[in-house]
Amino acid sequence: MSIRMEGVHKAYGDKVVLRGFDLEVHDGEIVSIIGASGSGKSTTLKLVIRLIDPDSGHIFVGGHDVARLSDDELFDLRRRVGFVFQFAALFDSMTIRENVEMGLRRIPGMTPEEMADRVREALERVDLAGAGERMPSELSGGMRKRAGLARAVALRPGYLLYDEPTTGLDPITVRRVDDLIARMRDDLGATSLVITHDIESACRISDRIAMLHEGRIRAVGTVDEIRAHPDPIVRGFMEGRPELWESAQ
Amino acid sequence: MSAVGVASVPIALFIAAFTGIVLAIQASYTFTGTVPLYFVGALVGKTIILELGPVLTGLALSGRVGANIAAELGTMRVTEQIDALESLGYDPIAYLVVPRMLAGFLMFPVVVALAITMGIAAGWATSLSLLDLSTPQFVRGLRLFFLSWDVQFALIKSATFGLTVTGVGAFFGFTTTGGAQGVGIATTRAVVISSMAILALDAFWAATLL
Repeated sequence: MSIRMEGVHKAYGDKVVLRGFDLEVHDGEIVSIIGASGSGKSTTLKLVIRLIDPDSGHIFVGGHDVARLSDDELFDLRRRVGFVFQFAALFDSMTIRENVEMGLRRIPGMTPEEMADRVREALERVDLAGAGERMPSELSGGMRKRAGLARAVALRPGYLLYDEPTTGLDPITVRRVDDLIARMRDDLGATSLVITHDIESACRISDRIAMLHEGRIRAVGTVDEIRAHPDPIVRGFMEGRPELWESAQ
Repeated sequence: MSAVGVASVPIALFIAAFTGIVLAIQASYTFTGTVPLYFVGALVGKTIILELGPVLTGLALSGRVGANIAAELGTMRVTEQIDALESLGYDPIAYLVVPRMLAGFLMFPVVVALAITMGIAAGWATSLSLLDLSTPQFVRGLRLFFLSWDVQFALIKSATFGLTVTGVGAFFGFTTTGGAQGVGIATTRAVVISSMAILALDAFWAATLL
């Protein structure tokens, strides 16, 4: 139940985003990837379930090389991975309940009663029990993020991928989302990879933090190790000190 | 089916009605004194069935249906809804594109058939009310050069227009990049390219099937 990325390269046209990216997330662990905007953090998440293909390198999820999976195996893998998108990516023509049901409809043999139970359970987990019949446009940003999380956890995934789950939220909602992420790991035992540039949030929820810089992992370690890291790039980012950052460039 | 077909009927009928009216008047204007006036029925029928019914409807629907599909899928792309669909184990081509193309393929001929009927009916009503032509005279002209193959030809090319408009709209929607501006660009391109494709296909079918 681990995620392992080895020597991954990815470019969009002339813009090289990842150049030899290596990272392993162990079973049941929460690892946050931090880094500057546009450094390729979101790309790493999309590579994990092959929403985009790497130019080279290997990505293993649960021991399976994602690049070698057949279409059916890939769809099966995606059903075991919950992806929480930066702006929730809710289907705006559907109610919240229908959004949460979408993934469940792909599970063979699931009865309507089981599906209804799963939807109710997922919405209760994220404190949206009464919002099932509302449309995404009727929800606040924080509620939308939680609805996106409900859609992901309804599948009871073994892996959870979070793309900037707290961006744009007020401090109270940030705290609630952080608590939810930790709770999902505790309840589901899911291996979690979180993309964020919210340092406080990363320190609160992570077992380990990895810093992405110029397409590679610059440092990886526990929260304390990263906080005390001697590299000025890492310290500059963690402490929000541009002078440290710039002096090391 | 409903969005592609049923919702397109009013604009298609509107265009066909005015096309029928104008064709009847212009035919009368051209024929008076040289050709028997019942040829108005022949010109209205032949022109609407073979050309104006399918092509004008196709062009109108490239603006309505093609633009709608490009904007809808483009918005889904830039808001990561298509990625979300894939992440939930769906094949977005099978879920989003195939049903739309199928609807276009099946419903465009239906809409065109209704448009042809409306166009001819409008031409007939105009002939009766403005051109001093009787119903038997109009029908006589209508039947003069009528071939059932013409209707089949119109429906065949309408089906290909349906595939083209929906396919082009889906392609540009799917490949949208950027934000709102990207959606706007994709929508414009979808309408322009599908309109050009309809005219090219029209010429192709005329050259190969007639």
